[in-house]
Amino acid sequence: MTTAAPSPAVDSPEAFAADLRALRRAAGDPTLAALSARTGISKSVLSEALTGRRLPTERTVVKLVEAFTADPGPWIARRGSLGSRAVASSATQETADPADDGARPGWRSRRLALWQTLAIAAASAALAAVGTSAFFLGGSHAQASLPPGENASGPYLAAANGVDPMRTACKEDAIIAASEPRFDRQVQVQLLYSNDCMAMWGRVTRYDGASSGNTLTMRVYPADDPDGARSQERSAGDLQSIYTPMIVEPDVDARICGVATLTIDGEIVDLGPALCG
Amino acid sequence: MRLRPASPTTSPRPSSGRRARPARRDGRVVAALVAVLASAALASCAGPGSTPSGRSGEWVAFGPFEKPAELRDEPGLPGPATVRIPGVGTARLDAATLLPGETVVSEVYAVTLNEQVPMLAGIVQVIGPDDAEGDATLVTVALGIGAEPSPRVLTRTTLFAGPAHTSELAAVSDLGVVAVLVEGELQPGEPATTRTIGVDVARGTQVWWKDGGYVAYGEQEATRYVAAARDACVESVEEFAVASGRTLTTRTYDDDVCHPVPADAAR
Repeated sequence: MTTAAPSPAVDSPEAFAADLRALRRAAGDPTLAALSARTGISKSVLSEALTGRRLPTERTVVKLVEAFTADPGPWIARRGSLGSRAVASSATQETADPADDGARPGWRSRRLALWQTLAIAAASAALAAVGTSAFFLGGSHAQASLPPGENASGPYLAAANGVDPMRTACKEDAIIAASEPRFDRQVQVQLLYSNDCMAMWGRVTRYDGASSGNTLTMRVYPADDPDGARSQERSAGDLQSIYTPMIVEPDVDARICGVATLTIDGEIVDLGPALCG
Repeated sequence: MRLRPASPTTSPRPSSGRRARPARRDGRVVAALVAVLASAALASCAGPGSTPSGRSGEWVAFGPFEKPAELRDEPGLPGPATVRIPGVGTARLDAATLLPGETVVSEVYAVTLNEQVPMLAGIVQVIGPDDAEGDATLVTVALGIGAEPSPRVLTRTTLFAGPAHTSELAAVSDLGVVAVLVEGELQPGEPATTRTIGVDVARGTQVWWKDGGYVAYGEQEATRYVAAARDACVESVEEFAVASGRTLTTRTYDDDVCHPVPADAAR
């Protein structure tokens, strides 16, 4: 059985997918359902990886290649080479399977160089210090000291802790990292993730038609530091849906969680356990 | 703001120009082309309603917008079509323009709200990339579209991608969610079945889905008839909220009478 990743002279996500398919055939052509059961990755993500619709993430490649009983090392290297060449391209937000961690062809690799990480951290600190989340109607940790309307217009802001994701380019490549219906299916609690910005934020949307006179609240926080300064919260009334400010998290292994509440006739309703992604 | 109620004469199901002609699974590119041509032929047979532009000069309410009067019996707006937007003028809805570079098989539009702002929802089928076996695929996407002189896609949500299937606008809400009934071989190797999907086009996210049955068109609330096939006896009837998919009432038939799927849910 082939264990090394073929590496054509001019590589592409499509060629990568074609070689994955060849590896699949060599492994007995297991069905998507069987592969999904073996890898724990949804069939839709596997299908996109095998058809070349999206460049799979490193994690998907590892699990998939291991499922084909091949050595993932060369495949990871090749996948990394493809990912680092690409540029972000999506202009619209597309729904993703909650288990979908795939990257579309053309997306940059999630891992950053040290200087990039430091730059993001420095930008985060600076922007958090001046509290650029005044855009929000409700309160967030960074909002209190802001002049009102600071972010009401103007060009995109840099990604940073506490920044409104809708005021950044991060929204352009956002995918839904986790999503659960709550409150008898009348509310969706979601975590959205931008691969380009390595940032996550929460969104809570009510579908009960009771927005008027009521409030939505959501807080997102690092799973390993729930009460730290990086946590972000937003609360707003008379809206069907709200976003939280973003948390930038360069550590690919770190998890971000979110909790939400809403009010009905002034009564606060807890929307259940934390959603993490 | 609530959407205007449907016209009293509204028929819950359109009869032409909005269901995709499926591509044959084994025909690959040829099948895809057949699907496009068949769709075009179907549209041409449907007469002026297939490319509505208000030529009669009369318009009827389409939520807060207006659509050509000849389409008053349609719950949605089969495209390509022209819509009138108060304070803006007319706008052309054409999936080929909204999704440049993609091969459009069918398109139908509906109206919903993003918070208080009216917007358009597009249910569009396009030819997808070949699957892992090299067979042609059909992709149903839901578009959130800004109601502007030159409409633009705000969100895009894939509802189903796979072998031959049809997609119909099943219901609308004023909370951003429209319901789409997808029918075909939804699971590889299994018989054709249906799935109704609630998609929030304002936020670009799938909210709920229900497997099986046939939905009679509704606004805010809709009715799903659970039956093994369109010509089979109804086992139960579910009324549900379109925005959340939450079941409001359920009625199960346990008598010996065969209750057929209503014609307006089975077309």
